[in-house]
Amino acid sequence: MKLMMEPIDVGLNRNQPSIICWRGGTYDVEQILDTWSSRGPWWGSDERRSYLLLVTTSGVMEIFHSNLSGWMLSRMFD
Amino acid sequence: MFGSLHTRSHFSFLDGGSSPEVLAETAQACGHAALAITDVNGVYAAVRHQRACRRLGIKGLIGIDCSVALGATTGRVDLTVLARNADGYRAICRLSTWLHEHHALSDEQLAPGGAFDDLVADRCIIIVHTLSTRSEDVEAALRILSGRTELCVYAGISHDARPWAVRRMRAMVDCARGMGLRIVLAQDVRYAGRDAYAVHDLMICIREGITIHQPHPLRPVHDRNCLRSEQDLRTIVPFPEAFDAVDEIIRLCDFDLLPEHITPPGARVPEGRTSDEVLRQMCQDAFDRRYARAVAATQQRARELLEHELQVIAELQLSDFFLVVHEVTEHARSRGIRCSGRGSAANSVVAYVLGITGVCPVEHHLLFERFLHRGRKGTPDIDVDFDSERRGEVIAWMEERFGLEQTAMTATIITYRLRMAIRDAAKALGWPEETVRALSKAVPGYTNNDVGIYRAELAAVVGDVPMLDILLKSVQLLIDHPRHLGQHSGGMVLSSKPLEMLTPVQRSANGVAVVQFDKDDVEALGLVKFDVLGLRMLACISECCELVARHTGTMPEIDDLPLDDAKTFETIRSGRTLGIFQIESQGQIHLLAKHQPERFSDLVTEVALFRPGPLQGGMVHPYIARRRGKEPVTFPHPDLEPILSDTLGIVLFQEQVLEIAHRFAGMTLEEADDFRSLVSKNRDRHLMAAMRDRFVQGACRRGVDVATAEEVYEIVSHFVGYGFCRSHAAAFAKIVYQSAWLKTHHTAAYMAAFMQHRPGMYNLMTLEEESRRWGVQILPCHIQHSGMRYDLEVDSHGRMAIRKPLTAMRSVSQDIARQIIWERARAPFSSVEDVVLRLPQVPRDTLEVIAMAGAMHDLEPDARRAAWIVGVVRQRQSKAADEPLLRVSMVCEEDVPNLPELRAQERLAYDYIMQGAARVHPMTLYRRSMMSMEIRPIETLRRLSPDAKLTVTTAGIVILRQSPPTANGMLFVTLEDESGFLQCVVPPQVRERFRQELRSSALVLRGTLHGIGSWRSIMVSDVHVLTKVIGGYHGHLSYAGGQDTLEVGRNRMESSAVVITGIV
Repeated sequence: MKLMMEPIDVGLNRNQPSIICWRGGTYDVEQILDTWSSRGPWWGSDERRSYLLLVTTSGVMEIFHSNLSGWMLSRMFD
Repeated sequence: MFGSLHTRSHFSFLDGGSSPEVLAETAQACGHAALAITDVNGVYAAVRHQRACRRLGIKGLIGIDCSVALGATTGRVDLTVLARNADGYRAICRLSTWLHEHHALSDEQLAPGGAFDDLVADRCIIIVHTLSTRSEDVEAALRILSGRTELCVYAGISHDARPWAVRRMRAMVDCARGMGLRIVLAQDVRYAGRDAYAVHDLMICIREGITIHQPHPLRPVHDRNCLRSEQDLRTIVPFPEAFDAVDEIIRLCDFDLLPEHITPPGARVPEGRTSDEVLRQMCQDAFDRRYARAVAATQQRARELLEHELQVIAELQLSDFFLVVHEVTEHARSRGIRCSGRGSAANSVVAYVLGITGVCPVEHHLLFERFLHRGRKGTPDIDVDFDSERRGEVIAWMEERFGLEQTAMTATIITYRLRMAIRDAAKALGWPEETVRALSKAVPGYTNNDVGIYRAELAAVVGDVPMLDILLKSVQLLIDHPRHLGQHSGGMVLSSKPLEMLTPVQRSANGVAVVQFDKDDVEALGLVKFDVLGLRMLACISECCELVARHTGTMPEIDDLPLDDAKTFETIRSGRTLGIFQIESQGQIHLLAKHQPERFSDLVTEVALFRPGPLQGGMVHPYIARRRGKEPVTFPHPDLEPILSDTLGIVLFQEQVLEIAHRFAGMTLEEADDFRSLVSKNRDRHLMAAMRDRFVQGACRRGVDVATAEEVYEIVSHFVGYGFCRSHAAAFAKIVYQSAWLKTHHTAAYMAAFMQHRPGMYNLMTLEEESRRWGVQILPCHIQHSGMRYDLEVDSHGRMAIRKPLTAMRSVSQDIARQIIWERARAPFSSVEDVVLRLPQVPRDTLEVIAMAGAMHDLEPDARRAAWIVGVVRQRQSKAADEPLLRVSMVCEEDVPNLPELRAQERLAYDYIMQGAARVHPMTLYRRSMMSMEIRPIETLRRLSPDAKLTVTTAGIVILRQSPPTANGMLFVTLEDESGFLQCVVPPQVRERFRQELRSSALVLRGTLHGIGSWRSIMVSDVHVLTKVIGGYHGHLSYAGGQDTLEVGRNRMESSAVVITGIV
C-alpha cells in the first residue's frame, strides 16, 4: 500500500466512477469494493470527503472526492 | 413504500440532532412514504411526530431504541421495537417504563416471561442492529430471538459509511439467512440533513463529558447519519430484499396515536346514572346555597349561565372532569387544606357553584367563553392553588383515589436557553469551570435572544479570541433543542384507563411518577390534566387563621368576609401593604397611591394593571386618569361600551380582547379565542398581519368604518405580552383582600404566619421591622419558649407579640429543634449546664450559636458567658466516663473569666448572623450622627410636600435593587431605616457615575423628592456609601438586598468569623 494524495480526474457513469485519469494514464473501474465518508471538524476546515475503494485496470485504488480539493487518489494497493 | 425505520429525534436527549417536525419534512422531501421515530428508551416525540406526519401526508411509525446486555459477557446488542397497532404501542410503553425502572435490559428479558413477553408478532416488530456491536453479539442475539417464533424479528442492516460497511452488512445478511430470519434496511439516522452533524457531535461531547478536541468512539466521523433517498441508498446497499422488507413493515404498522376523543378521569358516578346527570344534580343542589345572598337579578342570570355551561360541558364530554376536580377540592377542604381555583376556570358558574373557584362570574362580569366554548380543541385548564405546605397530601390522596397506574405528573421538556447553552458549549470547548461560570453569568438567564447580541459581554470574559466565534456557533446550534425531561410544577394527569396504554411513566429524581409528554402533548393524547399548584400565601392564610383561633378562640370566617371593610381598604390605600399578596412590591405600592382602590373591583383591576401587557401597552396611566376623574371616559365605538364600560374604556383583560373580536369584529368564538391567544403572545408577525385583515374586514362587514376598525385593532393589538384574564385577576384579588384583611385585623398572627411561610419578596429583617411598625413586638428565639414555628405570645403590654421559633437560629435544624422541645417537655431547663447535659446529641457549635443568639437569656443573661459555659461543660462531659452517682455542677465560678458584655453593635451583628434579623434596626444606632448631618429618617419625608420638589438626603439599608427591562436603564433602590422604606430612582447617568457605590449595602442618597398621596420617592442625583459619611459601620450583612440575611450570613460567615473571634 502506498500513500499518494495526488489529484486525479474521474469519469462518472450514473453518478458512479467509471474511469480514472492519473499521471496521463486512463484506467477503467472494474468494481467498487467499498464506499465511506468522513468530515472534518465542524468548527474548523469543515471538509467533506467521500471515499471509494475501487478495482481498476491498474490495481486497487482508494480515491476520494473532497468539497475543498476535488478528486484525489489517496492510496494505491499492491 | 420506503421510509426510515430507525430514526432518533432530538428527544433522544443529547443524541438526536433534529426535531420530529424537521425530520418529517426532510423525509417527505427525500420521497419517503413513512418515517419511524425510535428514540432511546422513550416515545417522547410520538405526538409531535404523528402530528407532523399527518400534516405532511406521510405515515408516522412509533418505536423505541433500546440496548440489551447479553448474558455474562460484556457484549450488548441494539434493538428497535416498532408498534404495529395500539396493543403494540401499549407494549412499547410498558417496555419503556420497565427500562426507566431497571435502567437496562438483559437477555433474561428476551426469554419467555420477560419484559419482551408482550412484544409479540401481531403487536410489534423487532429489528436487531449491527450498530456498534461485535458480530458475535449480533449473532448471539439473533440466535436467541430466532427461536422465539411468536416474535416478528428482522435483522437490521445499515450502511454506516465507515470502511468495510458492505462487508459487515454481508456478514449480517449471511448470519440472518442461516437462521431463517429476514433482513431489513434500518439506516441509523440521528439527524435530518448533513449539516446537523455538528450539533449531533456537540451533543455527544456534552453527554459524554468530553471536549470537542478529545476522541471518543461514539463521536461521528462523518455526516451521513442523515435521512437519504431510497435511490441513494440502493446504490450503496446491494441487498434488494432489505428494501422489500421496509415496504412490508411500513404496511404492517398502522397505528394512529392521536384520538379524536377525551379520556376523562374516572369520576364517582352511581350505577344507572350518567356523569352529566350527576353534575347537573350537584350544581342544582349547590346553587341555592351559593346564591342564597345574591339579588334576584344575579340569581336569574346565574341560572341561565349555569344551564348554558352544563350543556356545553356535556357536549364536550367534560362532566367527569368537573366532578373529579370538585371531588379533589372537597376532599382537600374536608381535611382543612385551603384551596382556591384560579385562571380561566373562574369564568365558570359551574366551577363557582361547586366551590372550585371563589368569585361569582355574574357579579364580576366574567366570560365563560374564555374558559370553554363549543369550538374549543382539547381539554380546558382548571388550575387550583393549594396550601403549599399540604399540597403533597392532596397529591398522595389523588394517587390513592384514582390509582397509581392512572395518575402521574405532566412532564416539561427542558430545552436549551441561552445561559444553559453557553455553559454546556463552553465546557465542551474546554474552558475551565471558572471561565464557564463567568461566561454563563455574562448573559441574562431565561432569554432566547440571539447569542450574537451578547458578543461584547462574552468577549469581556475571554477576550476577542477565535474560540469565541466557535462558542457563538455552538450556542446557536444548541438553542431550542431539548436537554432533558423535567417535571411540571403541578399538572397531574388523571385517566380512567391505566396510563401505560397511552404513555410510558418514569420516575423523577424525587420519586414522582412522570409521563413522557408535556402539557400540550398530554392534551393532544386526549388526556386530562389538572393543575395541583402550591401557593405559599394560602398556607400563610391558613396558618394565620389557626393562630387567631388558637389564641382568641374564634376562627375568622375568611371565605365569607364582606368585601367592603373600610379599614382594610384604608390599609391598601395607604400603601402599608408589605406582606400583602400581589400588592407588596414598590411598583404596586406606587400604583396603589395613584389608583386609591375603594372597592373589590378596584382590586381586580389593580392586580391586572401591574402586568407586562398593560404596562407595555401604555394602559395604566389612561386608566388611572379616568378612574380619578382627571380624564373623560370615552369609547372608540359605541359597540365597545358594554364590553369596556367597567374598565372605563381601557382594554385590561384577555376576556375583553376576545369579546371585541367576537362582537365588534364578528369573529366566531373559536376564531376570537385564537385571536386573543395570538394577540397575547404576539408570536408571529405574518399571522398577526393576516389576523389584522380579518379583524378590520369583519368589523367593516358589521357597518364599522375602516378608520375606526383600524383604530380599535391598534388598541387591541397593544395588549401584548403577559396580561391577566379577568377571572384570574378576580381570583387573585380575593386573596389580596383576604390577606389585607388579616393584616389589618390580626396583624400579629398574620405577620407570624407570613414569616413562617415567606410567600413574599422581602427579607426577614424587613418583615420584622414591618411588624414593629404595626406595633407588634418580635420576641427573640428562646430555648424555654420557642417552638418549631412562629407563634404568638402576650407581651409585657398585654398585646400579641411574635415569638421566633428555634429553627430561626442558624444551624438549628428541625431535628435539633425537636430534640430541644421533647427534652423541655420533660422539665424546663434550669441552667446552661442543664441544657448541655440534657442535649448530648446536639453539637457544641449549635449550642454555642443558641447561646450567642441570646436564646439562653433567662438561664444566663450574658450571651458570652453562656457560650463559654457551653464549651466548658461539653468538654468535661466528653471526658467524664460514666454518669456520676451524685451530680455536682461541672462549672464553677473560676471556670468563667470576666468577659466584656456585648456592645449594641456586636449584639446587632450576632443577631444578623445567628437569627437572620436584628432586634433593633441598624440605623437606630447611627441616628444621632445622621441627624447632625441632616440625613432625614425616611418617615419624615412623608410629611414634606412633593410639590415643592425639595432636595433631600436620606440613608438606609438597601433591601431591594431592581432594574426591570422595561425601565430603560433606571435602577430602583429601596432603602429601609427604622421608620420605613423608600423607593429611590437612579437615572442611567447617575447609575453609571456611582456604579461602585451603588453596590454597597447601606447608602446615603440625595435627590429630588417626588410623591403622590402618602407615597414618596426620590430621584437620585448623588450617592454615598454610608460608612464614608458616618464612619466605622460594619453591622449589616445584607449586601445582597432582598435576600434572606440568614442565608447571606451563612455565606459571609467566613468574613464575619474574624469579627466574632475578636469579640469572643
